[in-house]
Amino acid sequence: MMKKVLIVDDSATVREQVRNALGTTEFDVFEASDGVEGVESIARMSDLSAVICDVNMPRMDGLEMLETVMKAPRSAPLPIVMLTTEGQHEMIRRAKLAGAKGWIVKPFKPEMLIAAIRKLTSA
Amino acid sequence: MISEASKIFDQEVAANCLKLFADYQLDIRVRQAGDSIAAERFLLCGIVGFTAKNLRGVLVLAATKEPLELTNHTSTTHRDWVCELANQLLGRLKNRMLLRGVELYASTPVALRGEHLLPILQQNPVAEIFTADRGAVCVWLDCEFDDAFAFSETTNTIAPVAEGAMLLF
Repeated sequence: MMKKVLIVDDSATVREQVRNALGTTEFDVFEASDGVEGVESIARMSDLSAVICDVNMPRMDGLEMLETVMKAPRSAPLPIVMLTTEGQHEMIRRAKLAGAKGWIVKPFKPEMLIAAIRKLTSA
Repeated sequence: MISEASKIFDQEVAANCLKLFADYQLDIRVRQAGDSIAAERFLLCGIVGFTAKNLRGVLVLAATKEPLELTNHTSTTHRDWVCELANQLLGRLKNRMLLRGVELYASTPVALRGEHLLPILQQNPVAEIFTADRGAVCVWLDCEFDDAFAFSETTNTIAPVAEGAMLLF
């Protein structure tokens, strides 16, 4: 069965880049365009295997989304990887503390993203 | 001091614009003295506002159609892509400025469409124009520095994680 992955990014181009990278392999990719939509999608999809999330987004940023999602009860752990232009260690520490499983600085290499998501979703 | 700071910002933007397009497999080069830009039709601008202590500014990335087409292999609009390119360029500038003790806070990028979009070339802000085999890219910064603006004297910040790098925890 295909694993479900959610990409949360306000850029439609980045969402499609991620879809192109992952969608041709073993993943079924879903999209949300900001943190608020991301939180709603995650609450709705109990069978998600992983989330890839931008940091700078309107309405709710990625770090706030991460912290919100990690506080909510969930039957299975949900790996979240941040995909962003930000490279500050302080921000990365905050994400790690909140429970993020990875940090990728844009632009991403498709093969790197596939490897990361495979690793994080392998049981 | 301010003009020196402005020059450093301009240089970082220009250098990182080259790297950004190189990461998307498009070689662009600084426009040569004889090249005319009058004929270039900049189609779209991606604009990102930013602030820092004693500084406010805007980064603009304008491009003709060709560099946008050659770097975007998705079905999305040029508007969305030029915004993302401006956003990624600002991200690079932000990371470089952190090393000088300046933290930039950016807004969400927006796109502006127009005909013959050009900066004022004979005065500040300084624009850098790049040409590709087909088309052109132009970047410029329009910054307002307060007199109190300064780079940090002690630049002991650890280098930010590089573009394209991945960390797994």
